[in-house]
Amino acid sequence: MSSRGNNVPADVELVQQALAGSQEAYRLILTRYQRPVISLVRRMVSEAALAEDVAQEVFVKAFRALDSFDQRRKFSSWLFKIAHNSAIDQLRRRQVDTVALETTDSEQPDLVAVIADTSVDSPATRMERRDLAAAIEGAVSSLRPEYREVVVLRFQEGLAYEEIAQVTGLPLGTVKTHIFRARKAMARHLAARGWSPTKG
Amino acid sequence: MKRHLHRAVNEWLRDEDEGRSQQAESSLTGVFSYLPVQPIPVGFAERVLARAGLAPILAPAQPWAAVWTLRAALSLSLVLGALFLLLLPSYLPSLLGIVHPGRVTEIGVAALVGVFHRLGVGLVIWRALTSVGAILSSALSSPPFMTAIALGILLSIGAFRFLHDLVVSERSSQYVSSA
Repeated sequence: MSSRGNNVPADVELVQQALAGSQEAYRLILTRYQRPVISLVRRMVSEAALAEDVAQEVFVKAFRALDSFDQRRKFSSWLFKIAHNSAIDQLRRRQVDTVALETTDSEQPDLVAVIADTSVDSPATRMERRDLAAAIEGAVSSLRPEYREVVVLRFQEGLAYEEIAQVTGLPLGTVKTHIFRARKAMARHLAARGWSPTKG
Repeated sequence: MKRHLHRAVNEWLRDEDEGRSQQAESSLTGVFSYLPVQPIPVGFAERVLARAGLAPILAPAQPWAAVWTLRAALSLSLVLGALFLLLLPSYLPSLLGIVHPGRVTEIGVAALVGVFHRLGVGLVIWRALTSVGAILSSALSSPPFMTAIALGILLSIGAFRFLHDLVVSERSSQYVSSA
Protein backbone atom coordinates (compact mmCIF):
# COMPACT_ATOMS: atom_id res chain seq x y z
CA MET A 1 0.00 0.00 0.00
CA SER A 2 2.98 2.27 -0.19
CA SER A 3 2.89 3.13 -3.87
CA ARG A 4 -0.29 4.83 -4.97
CA GLY A 5 -1.72 7.09 -7.59
CA ASN A 6 -0.85 10.74 -8.00
CA ASN A 7 -3.54 12.09 -5.70
CA VAL A 8 -3.30 9.47 -3.01
CA PRO A 9 -0.41 9.97 -0.62
CA ALA A 10 1.84 6.98 0.03
CA ASP A 11 2.08 5.52 3.50
CA VAL A 12 5.49 7.06 4.12
CA GLU A 13 4.21 10.51 3.16
CA LEU A 14 1.29 10.10 5.54
CA VAL A 15 3.62 9.04 8.32
CA GLN A 16 5.82 12.09 7.70
CA GLN A 17 2.80 14.39 7.68
CA ALA A 18 1.49 12.81 10.87
CA LEU A 19 4.84 13.24 12.55
CA ALA A 20 4.73 16.89 11.49
CA GLY A 21 1.45 17.20 13.40
CA SER A 22 -1.18 16.74 10.71
CA GLN A 23 -4.32 15.33 12.25
CA GLU A 24 -5.68 14.68 8.77
CA ALA A 25 -2.74 12.34 8.11
CA TYR A 26 -3.57 10.31 11.20
CA ARG A 27 -7.15 10.10 10.04
CA LEU A 28 -6.09 8.96 6.57
CA ILE A 29 -3.86 6.24 8.03
CA LEU A 30 -6.80 5.10 10.11
CA THR A 31 -9.17 5.11 7.16
CA ARG A 32 -6.69 3.16 5.07
CA TYR A 33 -5.85 0.48 7.60
CA GLN A 34 -8.82 0.17 9.93
CA ARG A 35 -10.46 -2.56 7.89
CA PRO A 36 -7.45 -4.89 7.54
CA VAL A 37 -6.45 -4.40 11.18
CA ILE A 38 -9.95 -5.01 12.48
CA SER A 39 -10.26 -8.01 10.18
CA LEU A 40 -7.01 -9.56 11.39
CA VAL A 41 -7.69 -8.91 15.05
CA ARG A 42 -11.25 -10.15 14.79
CA ARG A 43 -10.02 -13.40 13.29
CA MET A 44 -7.56 -13.83 16.13
CA VAL A 45 -9.79 -12.64 18.98
CA SER A 46 -13.18 -14.10 18.25
CA GLU A 47 -15.13 -11.80 20.59
CA ALA A 48 -16.25 -8.73 18.58
CA ALA A 49 -16.20 -6.15 21.38
CA LEU A 50 -12.80 -7.30 22.58
CA ALA A 51 -11.50 -7.28 19.01
CA GLU A 52 -12.56 -3.65 18.58
CA ASP A 53 -10.81 -2.73 21.79
CA VAL A 54 -7.62 -4.47 20.65
CA ALA A 55 -7.85 -2.84 17.21
CA GLN A 56 -8.13 0.58 18.86
CA GLU A 57 -5.13 -0.25 21.00
CA VAL A 58 -3.16 -1.19 17.86
CA PHE A 59 -3.65 2.23 16.32
CA VAL A 60 -3.00 4.07 19.57
CA LYS A 61 0.28 2.17 20.01
CA ALA A 62 1.21 2.77 16.37
CA PHE A 63 0.51 6.51 16.58
CA ARG A 64 2.48 6.86 19.80
CA ALA A 65 5.42 4.93 18.35
CA LEU A 66 5.25 6.49 14.91
CA ASP A 67 8.60 8.23 15.31
CA SER A 68 10.25 4.85 15.85
CA PHE A 69 8.92 3.50 12.53
CA ASP A 70 11.75 2.82 10.08
CA GLN A 71 10.49 4.57 6.97
CA ARG A 72 12.51 2.29 4.68
CA ARG A 73 10.27 -0.58 5.75
CA LYS A 74 6.73 -1.29 4.71
CA PHE A 75 4.23 0.50 6.94
CA SER A 76 1.55 -2.19 6.63
CA SER A 77 3.96 -4.89 7.87
CA TRP A 78 4.93 -2.71 10.83
CA LEU A 79 1.27 -2.09 11.67
CA PHE A 80 0.34 -5.76 11.29
CA LYS A 81 3.23 -6.63 13.59
CA ILE A 82 1.75 -4.35 16.26
CA ALA A 83 -1.67 -5.93 15.63
CA HIS A 84 -0.18 -9.41 15.95
CA ASN A 85 1.56 -8.56 19.23
CA SER A 86 -1.48 -6.82 20.69
CA ALA A 87 -3.78 -9.72 19.82
CA ILE A 88 -1.35 -12.28 21.23
CA ASP A 89 -1.00 -10.22 24.43
CA GLN A 90 -4.75 -10.03 24.73
CA LEU A 91 -5.17 -13.75 24.19
CA ARG A 92 -2.58 -14.50 26.85
CA ARG A 93 -4.04 -11.97 29.26
CA ARG A 94 -7.65 -12.93 29.00
CA GLN A 95 -7.34 -16.58 28.09
CA VAL A 96 -9.96 -16.11 25.43
CA ASP A 97 -11.35 -19.19 23.77
CA THR A 98 -9.97 -18.54 20.33
CA VAL A 99 -11.24 -21.60 18.50
CA ALA A 100 -14.87 -21.36 17.52
CA LEU A 101 -15.53 -24.89 16.35
CA GLU A 102 -18.59 -24.03 14.34
CA THR A 103 -20.04 -20.75 13.26
CA THR A 104 -23.74 -20.36 12.92
CA ASP A 105 -25.79 -18.14 10.66
CA SER A 106 -26.48 -15.75 13.49
CA GLU A 107 -22.75 -15.24 14.06
CA GLN A 108 -22.15 -14.30 10.43
CA PRO A 109 -25.11 -12.14 9.49
CA ASP A 110 -23.20 -9.90 7.10
CA LEU A 111 -21.63 -12.75 5.22
CA VAL A 112 -24.83 -14.68 4.85
CA ALA A 113 -26.82 -11.57 3.98
CA VAL A 114 -24.47 -10.57 1.20
CA ILE A 115 -24.06 -14.00 -0.29
CA ALA A 116 -27.67 -14.99 -0.02
CA ASP A 117 -29.12 -12.80 -2.74
CA THR A 118 -32.85 -13.10 -2.44
CA SER A 119 -33.71 -11.38 -5.71
CA VAL A 120 -32.47 -13.82 -8.34
CA ASP A 121 -32.14 -17.43 -7.30
CA SER A 122 -34.41 -20.15 -6.15
CA PRO A 123 -34.74 -20.82 -2.42
CA ALA A 124 -32.72 -24.02 -2.83
CA THR A 125 -29.83 -22.17 -4.49
CA ARG A 126 -29.94 -19.45 -1.87
CA MET A 127 -29.85 -21.99 0.88
CA GLU A 128 -26.92 -23.78 -0.73
CA ARG A 129 -25.04 -20.49 -1.02
CA ARG A 130 -25.79 -19.62 2.57
CA ASP A 131 -24.48 -23.01 3.61
CA LEU A 132 -21.34 -22.50 1.57
CA ALA A 133 -20.68 -19.11 3.16
CA ALA A 134 -21.19 -20.52 6.64
CA ALA A 135 -18.96 -23.48 5.79
CA ILE A 136 -16.10 -21.24 4.66
CA GLU A 137 -16.40 -19.10 7.75
CA GLY A 138 -16.57 -22.25 9.85
CA ALA A 139 -13.47 -23.61 8.12
CA VAL A 140 -11.50 -20.45 8.95
CA SER A 141 -12.82 -20.33 12.51
CA SER A 142 -11.97 -23.96 13.15
CA LEU A 143 -8.26 -23.38 12.48
CA ARG A 144 -5.73 -23.03 15.27
CA PRO A 145 -5.14 -19.30 16.04
CA GLU A 146 -1.65 -19.29 14.50
CA TYR A 147 -2.98 -20.91 11.32
CA ARG A 148 -5.94 -18.55 11.22
CA GLU A 149 -3.65 -15.55 11.42
CA VAL A 150 -1.40 -16.63 8.55
CA VAL A 151 -4.45 -17.49 6.45
CA VAL A 152 -5.86 -13.99 6.92
CA LEU A 153 -2.52 -12.32 6.25
CA ARG A 154 -1.87 -14.43 3.18
CA PHE A 155 -5.24 -14.84 1.51
CA GLN A 156 -7.20 -11.86 2.77
CA GLU A 157 -4.50 -9.21 3.05
CA GLY A 158 -2.27 -10.60 0.29
CA LEU A 159 1.01 -10.46 2.22
CA ALA A 160 4.06 -12.32 0.91
CA TYR A 161 5.54 -15.17 2.93
CA GLU A 162 8.47 -13.00 3.99
CA GLU A 163 6.16 -10.27 5.24
CA ILE A 164 4.09 -12.79 7.18
CA ALA A 165 7.31 -14.10 8.73
CA GLN A 166 8.20 -10.54 9.78
CA VAL A 167 4.77 -9.87 11.21
CA THR A 168 4.43 -13.10 13.14
CA GLY A 169 8.09 -13.50 14.03
CA LEU A 170 8.04 -17.06 12.70
CA PRO A 171 10.72 -18.61 10.48
CA LEU A 172 9.88 -18.54 6.79
CA GLY A 173 9.65 -22.33 6.61
CA THR A 174 7.19 -22.39 9.49
CA VAL A 175 5.02 -19.80 7.76
CA LYS A 176 4.91 -21.93 4.62
CA THR A 177 4.08 -25.04 6.64
CA HIS A 178 1.36 -23.23 8.58
CA ILE A 179 -0.24 -21.97 5.37
CA PHE A 180 -0.08 -25.38 3.74
CA ARG A 181 -1.56 -27.14 6.75
CA ALA A 182 -4.21 -24.46 7.20
CA ARG A 183 -5.30 -24.88 3.58
CA LYS A 184 -5.54 -28.63 3.96
CA ALA A 185 -7.44 -28.31 7.23
CA MET A 186 -9.92 -25.92 5.64
CA ALA A 187 -10.45 -28.24 2.68
CA ARG A 188 -10.97 -31.18 5.06
CA HIS A 189 -13.42 -29.12 7.08
CA LEU A 190 -15.46 -28.38 3.96
CA ALA A 191 -15.25 -31.96 2.74
CA ALA A 192 -16.50 -33.22 6.09
CA ARG A 193 -19.56 -31.02 5.55
CA GLY A 194 -20.26 -32.36 2.11
CA TRP A 195 -18.47 -29.74 -0.01
CA SER A 196 -16.47 -31.67 -2.54
CA PRO A 197 -15.18 -30.38 -5.88
CA THR A 198 -17.20 -31.08 -9.00
CA LYS A 199 -15.21 -32.33 -11.95
CA GLY A 200 -15.11 -30.38 -15.16
CA MET B 1 -20.30 -12.16 -7.46
CA LYS B 2 -22.16 -14.91 -5.64
CA ARG B 3 -21.85 -17.34 -8.52
CA HIS B 4 -18.13 -16.58 -8.61
CA LEU B 5 -17.80 -17.60 -4.98
CA HIS B 6 -19.21 -21.01 -5.80
CA ARG B 7 -16.88 -21.35 -8.75
CA ALA B 8 -13.84 -20.16 -6.77
CA VAL B 9 -14.52 -22.60 -3.93
CA ASN B 10 -14.96 -25.42 -6.41
CA GLU B 11 -11.74 -24.52 -8.18
CA TRP B 12 -9.78 -24.33 -4.95
CA LEU B 13 -11.11 -27.66 -3.67
CA ARG B 14 -10.29 -29.28 -7.01
CA ASP B 15 -6.72 -27.91 -6.88
CA GLU B 16 -6.33 -29.22 -3.35
CA ASP B 17 -7.81 -32.56 -4.35
CA GLU B 18 -5.42 -32.95 -7.26
CA GLY B 19 -2.39 -31.78 -5.30
CA ARG B 20 -1.75 -28.55 -7.27
CA SER B 21 -0.41 -26.58 -4.34
CA GLN B 22 0.48 -23.32 -6.10
CA GLN B 23 -2.81 -23.14 -7.97
CA ALA B 24 -4.64 -23.97 -4.74
CA GLU B 25 -3.04 -20.95 -3.10
CA SER B 26 -4.12 -18.57 -5.81
CA SER B 27 -7.61 -20.03 -6.02
CA LEU B 28 -8.01 -19.74 -2.23
CA THR B 29 -7.03 -16.08 -2.60
CA GLY B 30 -9.86 -15.92 -5.13
CA VAL B 31 -12.28 -17.41 -2.60
CA PHE B 32 -11.33 -14.76 -0.04
CA SER B 33 -11.73 -11.99 -2.59
CA TYR B 34 -15.38 -12.98 -3.04
CA LEU B 35 -16.11 -12.98 0.66
CA PRO B 36 -17.66 -9.77 1.99
CA VAL B 37 -15.35 -7.53 3.98
CA GLN B 38 -15.61 -7.23 7.74
CA PRO B 39 -17.82 -4.31 8.79
CA ILE B 40 -16.11 -1.46 10.62
CA PRO B 41 -17.74 -0.43 13.91
CA VAL B 42 -19.46 2.95 13.61
CA GLY B 43 -17.30 5.77 14.94
CA PHE B 44 -14.22 3.56 15.21
CA ALA B 45 -11.82 6.17 13.80
CA GLU B 46 -13.16 8.90 16.10
CA ARG B 47 -12.76 6.66 19.15
CA VAL B 48 -9.19 5.82 18.18
CA LEU B 49 -8.28 9.47 17.63
CA ALA B 50 -9.85 10.44 20.94
CA ARG B 51 -8.09 7.59 22.75
CA ALA B 52 -4.77 8.62 21.21
CA GLY B 53 -5.38 12.19 22.32
CA LEU B 54 -5.51 13.41 18.75
CA ALA B 55 -9.10 14.62 18.67
CA PRO B 56 -11.46 15.88 21.34
CA ILE B 57 -14.55 13.84 22.02
CA LEU B 58 -17.29 16.09 20.69
CA ALA B 59 -20.40 16.41 22.78
CA PRO B 60 -23.62 15.94 20.82
CA ALA B 61 -25.07 19.26 19.63
CA GLN B 62 -27.88 20.64 21.77
CA PRO B 63 -31.16 21.45 20.02
CA TRP B 64 -31.41 25.17 19.20
CA ALA B 65 -34.76 25.72 20.95
CA ALA B 66 -33.61 23.97 24.12
CA VAL B 67 -30.47 26.07 24.31
CA TRP B 68 -32.39 29.34 23.93
CA THR B 69 -35.09 28.30 26.40
CA LEU B 70 -32.41 27.52 28.96
CA ARG B 71 -30.68 30.84 28.35
CA ALA B 72 -33.99 32.75 28.67
CA ALA B 73 -34.86 30.93 31.90
CA LEU B 74 -31.45 31.72 33.36
CA SER B 75 -31.72 35.41 32.37
CA LEU B 76 -35.22 35.69 33.84
CA SER B 77 -34.13 34.13 37.12
CA LEU B 78 -31.20 36.56 37.33
CA VAL B 79 -33.52 39.55 36.72
CA LEU B 80 -36.00 38.31 39.34
CA GLY B 81 -33.18 37.76 41.81
CA ALA B 82 -31.90 41.29 41.25
CA LEU B 83 -35.42 42.75 41.69
CA PHE B 84 -35.88 40.81 44.91
CA LEU B 85 -32.59 42.16 46.26
CA LEU B 86 -33.60 45.72 45.34
CA LEU B 87 -37.00 45.46 47.04
CA LEU B 88 -35.77 43.55 50.10
CA PRO B 89 -34.63 46.57 52.21
CA SER B 90 -38.04 48.27 52.04
CA TYR B 91 -39.97 45.11 53.01
CA LEU B 92 -37.50 43.79 55.59
CA PRO B 93 -39.01 45.56 58.71
CA SER B 94 -42.51 44.27 58.00
CA LEU B 95 -41.13 40.76 57.33
CA LEU B 96 -39.31 40.82 60.64
CA GLY B 97 -42.58 41.86 62.30
CA ILE B 98 -44.20 38.61 61.16
CA VAL B 99 -41.40 36.53 62.62
CA HIS B 100 -41.81 37.71 66.23
CA PRO B 101 -39.84 35.76 68.93
CA GLY B 102 -42.92 35.35 71.09
CA ARG B 103 -44.89 33.92 68.17
CA VAL B 104 -42.09 31.47 67.35
CA THR B 105 -42.01 30.23 70.97
CA GLU B 106 -45.79 29.87 70.98
CA ILE B 107 -45.70 27.74 67.83
CA GLY B 108 -42.88 25.57 69.22
CA VAL B 109 -44.69 24.94 72.51
CA ALA B 110 -47.94 24.10 70.69
CA ALA B 111 -46.05 21.62 68.49
CA LEU B 112 -44.48 19.92 71.55
CA VAL B 113 -47.85 19.65 73.31
CA GLY B 114 -49.36 18.09 70.18
CA VAL B 115 -46.57 15.52 69.92
CA PHE B 116 -46.86 14.46 73.57
CA HIS B 117 -50.63 14.27 73.36
CA ARG B 118 -50.36 11.88 70.39
CA LEU B 119 -47.77 9.84 72.26
CA GLY B 120 -50.17 9.48 75.17
CA VAL B 121 -52.94 8.20 72.85
CA GLY B 122 -50.47 5.78 71.29
CA LEU B 123 -49.50 4.43 74.71
CA VAL B 124 -53.11 3.69 75.60
CA ILE B 125 -53.57 1.73 72.37
CA TRP B 126 -50.29 -0.10 72.91
CA ARG B 127 -51.33 -1.10 76.44
CA ALA B 128 -54.64 -2.46 75.15
CA LEU B 129 -52.88 -4.47 72.46
CA THR B 130 -50.38 -5.98 74.88
CA SER B 131 -53.14 -7.14 77.21
CA VAL B 132 -54.95 -8.79 74.26
CA GLY B 133 -51.65 -10.41 73.22
CA ALA B 134 -51.06 -11.72 76.76
CA ILE B 135 -54.52 -13.32 76.86
CA LEU B 136 -54.05 -14.93 73.44
CA SER B 137 -50.58 -16.26 74.18
CA SER B 138 -51.64 -17.84 77.44
CA ALA B 139 -54.57 -19.50 75.68
CA LEU B 140 -52.46 -20.72 72.74
CA SER B 141 -49.65 -22.08 74.92
CA SER B 142 -52.03 -24.31 76.86
CA PRO B 143 -51.73 -28.11 76.13
CA PRO B 144 -55.12 -28.49 74.37
CA PHE B 145 -54.36 -25.67 71.90
CA MET B 146 -50.84 -26.94 71.24
CA THR B 147 -52.23 -30.40 70.51
CA ALA B 148 -54.83 -28.92 68.15
CA ILE B 149 -52.12 -26.97 66.26
CA ALA B 150 -49.88 -30.06 65.96
CA LEU B 151 -52.82 -32.08 64.67
CA GLY B 152 -53.65 -29.35 62.15
CA ILE B 153 -50.09 -29.35 60.82
CA LEU B 154 -50.05 -33.14 60.49
CA LEU B 155 -53.38 -33.05 58.69
CA SER B 156 -52.09 -30.41 56.26
CA ILE B 157 -48.97 -32.47 55.49
CA GLY B 158 -51.14 -35.52 54.82
CA ALA B 159 -53.46 -33.56 52.55
CA PHE B 160 -50.55 -32.06 50.63
CA ARG B 161 -48.99 -35.48 50.12
CA PHE B 162 -52.31 -36.89 48.89
CA LEU B 163 -52.74 -34.02 46.40
CA HIS B 164 -49.17 -34.44 45.14
CA ASP B 165 -49.68 -38.17 44.51
CA LEU B 166 -52.95 -37.45 42.77
CA VAL B 167 -51.36 -34.89 40.42
CA VAL B 168 -48.44 -37.21 39.61
CA SER B 169 -50.71 -40.16 38.86
CA GLU B 170 -52.91 -38.02 36.56
CA ARG B 171 -49.93 -36.69 34.53
CA SER B 172 -49.81 -38.04 30.99
CA SER B 173 -47.54 -37.58 27.96
CA GLN B 174 -50.63 -37.34 25.79
CA TYR B 175 -50.94 -33.64 26.57
CA VAL B 176 -47.41 -33.06 25.28
CA SER B 177 -47.80 -35.01 22.07
CA SER B 178 -51.15 -33.47 21.17
CA ALA B 179 -49.90 -29.89 21.66
